[in-house]
Amino acid sequence: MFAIRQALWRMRSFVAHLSVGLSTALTYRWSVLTSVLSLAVSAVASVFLWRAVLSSESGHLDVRYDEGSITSYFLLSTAVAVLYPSSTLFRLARLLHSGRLNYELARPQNFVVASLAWFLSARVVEGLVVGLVLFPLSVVGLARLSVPSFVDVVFLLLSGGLFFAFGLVVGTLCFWLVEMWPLQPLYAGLMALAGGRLFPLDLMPDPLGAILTYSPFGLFGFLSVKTLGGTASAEEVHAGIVAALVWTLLLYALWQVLWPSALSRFEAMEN
Amino acid sequence: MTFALLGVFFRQSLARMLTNRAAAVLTLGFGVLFAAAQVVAILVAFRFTDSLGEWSLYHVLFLLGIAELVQVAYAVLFVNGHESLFERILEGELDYEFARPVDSQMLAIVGRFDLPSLPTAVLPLALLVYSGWHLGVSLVSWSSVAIVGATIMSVAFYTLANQILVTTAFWIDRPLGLTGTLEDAYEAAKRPASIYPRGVRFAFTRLVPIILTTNIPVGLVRGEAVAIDMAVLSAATIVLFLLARWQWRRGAMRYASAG
Repeated sequence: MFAIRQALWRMRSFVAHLSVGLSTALTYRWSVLTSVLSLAVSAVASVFLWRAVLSSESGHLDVRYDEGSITSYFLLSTAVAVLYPSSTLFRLARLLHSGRLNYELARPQNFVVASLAWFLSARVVEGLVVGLVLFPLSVVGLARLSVPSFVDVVFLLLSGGLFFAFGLVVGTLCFWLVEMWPLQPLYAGLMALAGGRLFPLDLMPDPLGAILTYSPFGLFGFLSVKTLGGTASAEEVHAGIVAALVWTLLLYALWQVLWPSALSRFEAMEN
Repeated sequence: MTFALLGVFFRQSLARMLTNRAAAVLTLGFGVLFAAAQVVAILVAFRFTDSLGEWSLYHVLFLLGIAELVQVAYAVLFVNGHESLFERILEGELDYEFARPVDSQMLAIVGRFDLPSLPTAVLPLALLVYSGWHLGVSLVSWSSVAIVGATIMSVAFYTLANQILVTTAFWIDRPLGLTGTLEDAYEAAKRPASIYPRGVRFAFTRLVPIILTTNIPVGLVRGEAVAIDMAVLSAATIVLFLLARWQWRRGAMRYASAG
């Protein structure tokens, strides 16, 4: 009985965090829209680059890509970039430097569950904005979306969970680094190189492309884009599920080691 | 803003860098990663073609070197000032800047040099040397002088555009989406103008001439007529300067101190 009441209380706590997170995220919905638009400019530059490759006299692309599919790839890549922003990785640093971490730790809640609630609330708002932008693009045929299968949904959820676990680990670095912002260009660089934001990873020479595809960045970048667009094969999605599970477990294990060590360094201050 | 004052800022920035040594090392290492990714993207593209809009691989690498050099120069001189500026505007912590007998706008953005970003200029400089050598660019020539001048103007354009976006914090609460806009939009400048359709090319070369900041130096290397493009970029930079000054004066009228 006590266990049931405790579970219900924790669920209420999770829902409360989720609703506050949603209110906060909706307050900054215009920031999400401007992020979509500015990332879209970057994507448009890549689209025209690859279209120029196709239209050049000596140009040829892998038969998997033509003008339409390469355009769709970069539009979906932009959508995924909005859903997995670098700002998520620095939430713990913001709590630490503002002094609000004291209150988060003092509350009778699981910090990971509370962080998950904030993470999901932000993704819901970003997903709505991205959906509003993608829908007309898919109607006119620029963005080719497919109805995901059950396996596709499992992979997409796992890749989201992988990104959350990645954020937890990166976030704990704020207890050792005075300045966290140098990690932002690191994340941008890795997503550009290994996440398929600048070019589809299957255009890289083998086996480099395959290795990068099943890295964390390739999973919540390139392979997520292919899955949304319906161009990922069943073998790729199944392999992606296994890779996402393995990476998530590894990152969570790493977090379990880092978090107690981080807390031992934490010196709470009243703000 | 005297050289003596700039010397003081440099020493303060050096002390700050030595205090945050871990961040300095990370900046040095990771700052080149995105630039390296851009180079890899071009090399991957040239696996499938020999030219992009009549530009060879070396022309595109030269353009990329210019673009990255502009961003490194901005990062070293102004990025720290801009990144903290909108927080200080929102928190009402600009009293120091407004009280000093120095131009407040210059004081707000200059003086927080990001010295760890300075070594990241190695990659763009290496790109320029490598591609320039293949293109037969002479270091001692009027075209090289023109290239340097165009690059300096590009840095000014980039800085002023960022200044205008950051200073919107006087009017907009937490303009988080705007502060990264120019960096994302600058991706368009890392490609030859000729790959864009006519309408997009017009917009980014005549209305908001961001593409000219990188294409003019390559045009000089190719021996193209760039006088009109230079005039457009110069005019746009002057307009941005006047707009940034006007915006700062108007923003100062709305400023509320927290002190």
